[in-house]
Parts: sequence; C-alpha cells; structure tokens
Amino acid sequence: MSAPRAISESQDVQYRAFLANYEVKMQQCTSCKVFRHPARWICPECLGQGWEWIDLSLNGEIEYFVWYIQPLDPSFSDVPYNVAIVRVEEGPCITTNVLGAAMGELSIGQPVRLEVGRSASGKPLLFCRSDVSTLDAK
Amino acid sequence: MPKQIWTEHPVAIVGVGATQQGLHPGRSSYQLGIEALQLAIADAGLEDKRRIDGVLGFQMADGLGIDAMVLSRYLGLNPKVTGALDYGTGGFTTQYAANLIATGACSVVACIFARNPTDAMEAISGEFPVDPDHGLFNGNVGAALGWSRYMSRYNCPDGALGPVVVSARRHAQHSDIAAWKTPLTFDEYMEQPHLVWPFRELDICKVTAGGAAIIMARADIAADLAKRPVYLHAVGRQQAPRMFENDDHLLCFGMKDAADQVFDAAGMAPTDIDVLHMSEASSASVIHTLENYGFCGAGEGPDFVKSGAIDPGGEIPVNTSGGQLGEGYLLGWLHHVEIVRQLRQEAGSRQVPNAEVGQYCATGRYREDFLSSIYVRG
Repeated sequence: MSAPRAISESQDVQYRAFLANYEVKMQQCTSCKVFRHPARWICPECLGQGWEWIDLSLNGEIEYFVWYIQPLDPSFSDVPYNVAIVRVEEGPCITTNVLGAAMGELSIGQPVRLEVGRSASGKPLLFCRSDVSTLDAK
Repeated sequence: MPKQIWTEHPVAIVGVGATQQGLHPGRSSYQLGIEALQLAIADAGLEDKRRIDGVLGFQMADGLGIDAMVLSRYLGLNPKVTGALDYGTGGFTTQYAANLIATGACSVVACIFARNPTDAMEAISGEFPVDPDHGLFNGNVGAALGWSRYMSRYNCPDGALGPVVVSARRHAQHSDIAAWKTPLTFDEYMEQPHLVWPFRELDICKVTAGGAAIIMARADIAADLAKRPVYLHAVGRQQAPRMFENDDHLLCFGMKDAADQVFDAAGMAPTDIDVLHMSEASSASVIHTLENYGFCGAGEGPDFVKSGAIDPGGEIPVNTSGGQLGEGYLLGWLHHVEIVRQLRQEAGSRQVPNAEVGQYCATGRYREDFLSSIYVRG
C-alpha cells in the first residue's frame, strides 16, 4: 500500500479544470471500478483511495426535472428555464439544464446527451441536450 | 427490534406552549421563546421553574438559533445540561430530550424553538442556493423535482397537491394561533400560476415568526404535575446522506425505513394511529408520508387526500391545527404541541374524538433526514 498522500476533501477543482478544457470526466475507483460524483478522495463503495478520471459516454437519462416559471434569484431572471437531475450511463447523477427544450418537451426517463457549455458568467459547465441525434460534443 | 429505552424508563411531555404565529415586529427569538416557555411552565403546573434541569435550544445552518446558555441566564436557571442541536427540529430535539431523561442525565427538560425571520409571511421557506451555477435555487425545489418523477410514475395530473393545501387551511381555521386563517378553495389553488413547475407557490410553506416550547419529564415527576402525561412510545430514524447514490432519493428514499422502525418499536400499525402529524415544508411531502407510512398505498396518495380523508373529521385527520402550510412554520414544533393537546382531549373544535395515539413524521434537509415519533396518552 502506498503512503497516505495529502488530499483536499473535494476534487471539484480538478473536475472543473477538465470541463474548462471541454472534457467531461468522472472519477472511477481503481479498486472496485464504481464511478462517483461529486468528486471526492474516497470511494463510497469500497473506501478505496485511488481513482482515475474517465471520459464519460455522454449518455444520460432525465431522472427529475422542474421548470422555473417565476425567477427565484436575480441571477436567473430569464424564465422559463429548466433544472434537471440526470443519471449518466456510468451511474452517478448530475444537476444540469437541458438545452434546446421548450416547456412540455421534457419527460422522466428521456435520453439526453451531455455537453460542455458556459454559464451566463462564462464559467464552463456541464449541460445536456434532449436532441440526442445531434452529436456535436466538442 | 430491541426495546427502546423509554419502554423501561418512560418519558412524558408534561407541558406545552406556543405563541401566536405569523408576524411579531421587533420581537427577538428569545422573547418569543420565553413567552412560549412561560405558557408551557404554566401548562405543566411546574410551580418552581428551578425543577428544569435541562434546557435545549437549536442552531440552524443560516446562523439563527437560540443559545441555551444565554436562554438559561435569562431564565435564571443553572441546568445540569444545556444544548442546541444542529437543525433542531421538533422531532430531533424532543428525541434528544427524551434520551437525556431516560438515561438519567436530567429529570425535567425544557425544549425551546422560536424565530422571527425577516420577510415573515412573505418569503417562501428553503431559500438557499442548491446549485446556483445551474439556477437551482431553494431547497424545496428538491421536493418539486421529486414530484415530477412521482407524477410520471403514477400518471398523476397537475393539481393533485391542491387538496393538501386546502386541507391545511381548513384545519388552520380551528387554530387559535394560526398564521394562515384565510380559507382557500381548490379553484383558488388551481388559479395560482406555477412558481417552479410542478409546484405553485402555495405548495411551499412560507416562513413565519413565532415560538413553541415543550417540557418533558420522567414518569414519576410527570404523574405529580397538572396535566395528564403524554408518553413518548416509540421512535424511528433514518438518514440518507448518500443522496443520489440511492434510488429515488427525491421520492424520499429512507422514509420507509423510518416507518418500519417506528411501527416495529411501537408494536403498532397505521390503523392504531388516531392523530397524524407531519412536517411539510411542501405539500408533496404529505403524499410521500401517507404512502411510505402505509396510510394509503403507493400511488394512492392523491386520491386519498382528494377523498377528504385528511380533512377535519376525515378518516385520519392530518395536521389538525393546520401544520406548516396553515398554522406556521416552526420546523415540526407546533405539531408536537398539537399532538399533546389532542391526546389530552384539550383541542376544542379541532378535537379528534377519543384520540389516544398520536404520530409525528418528518422529512428534513434535501430529503436526507426522516424521523417519526409515536406518543400515547397516560
């Protein structure tokens, strides 16, 4: 066993660095091969402390969604907009927005395709598209 | 299931008090808490306040709280134990107080919750950014996300939550201290635009100002006080910090385990419950609670509430003083006050005839905390 290494509680900085480079990666435990998200230093299944960053398939499915009809925060005043919890093919859930869908066009279990985009403030973020035939991920 | 400690070392609620709920301009949470505690002390007939040897306040993530050392100083008490639970809801705090008493650390514990939030009766509860990058604002939107999956699974229409909100207002009509006494019809509910689909604003409780206090004591002390004791009979707890690593996290994964625990420990079934209370920061949690605790079957909640079953005089009245959608949002504390009054047959026009067994069920945080307590009259 290798010597314990210094870690940060969250690995979010690394996750976001990949996104900034238009790479969608998630941690996979090197011991039990389970994927995890949000990123962290320990596997919740086997407590292994080794991981690899693996490119995702970019396939996911809507598990939950809502539509903000009235804004709850001035930073998101352009309504309606949706927020979805998407389960990616590798297992974990992500919180995201499904782009290119109007109200009434989302449903539970709907397949979506992950892509990297930018927030209103320019921050690289993970989004989804409901039109899964458009394979234009960078 | 091993016996719970209060089976052999009984603990009772001996006094309850609650202030008017709604608006209290200029009053501090300590003032409101002490007003409630004085009502509870009088209710218990506790002539010497120094018999209180445990004082519990609370601490919330937003920094609001009641520091039990400061409160004890105001009250002129030197308790054996003071404490404040993180996220000190009515259920967590009463269970902690009962532990202190059953283990012998304390004899009489006063539990106090009060707050006076800015924008009382205006702002919806749960206002914190869950994922501001993606515009996920307000913790109650977790319940709205869950409800979208529920609607899909059970082919449930928009408006199915309306009867829950209307029922809460019906119950609140009979509360002397309710913040929301204006009647509400189902049509008025349906006319309200969605806030965060599938929720209307009325589906999320608003913050209110007010205080509540609960005094618990060992059985031999309870027997000598003014009112008929109300005993803690059984508890169930289940947390779900793994969140989305669990299936159906936002459909209240974990609630069923809390239900199994509390009914096993009580030796009871839903048919034994006379008065049912549940903390409902959103209307949807009432449906999830009714189903997971077995008051109706999975997917049957909307029809169950539509039938009037949870209304005043219904099959199993829910939140008989209005709950958080009707009486006021004190994180489950007012539910405990009301269960005690019901089991003492003191509830006036709200009284459920011959109520002997009361149950409280809670859903907390981002659907990570589940708890239930069953109380019986002495």
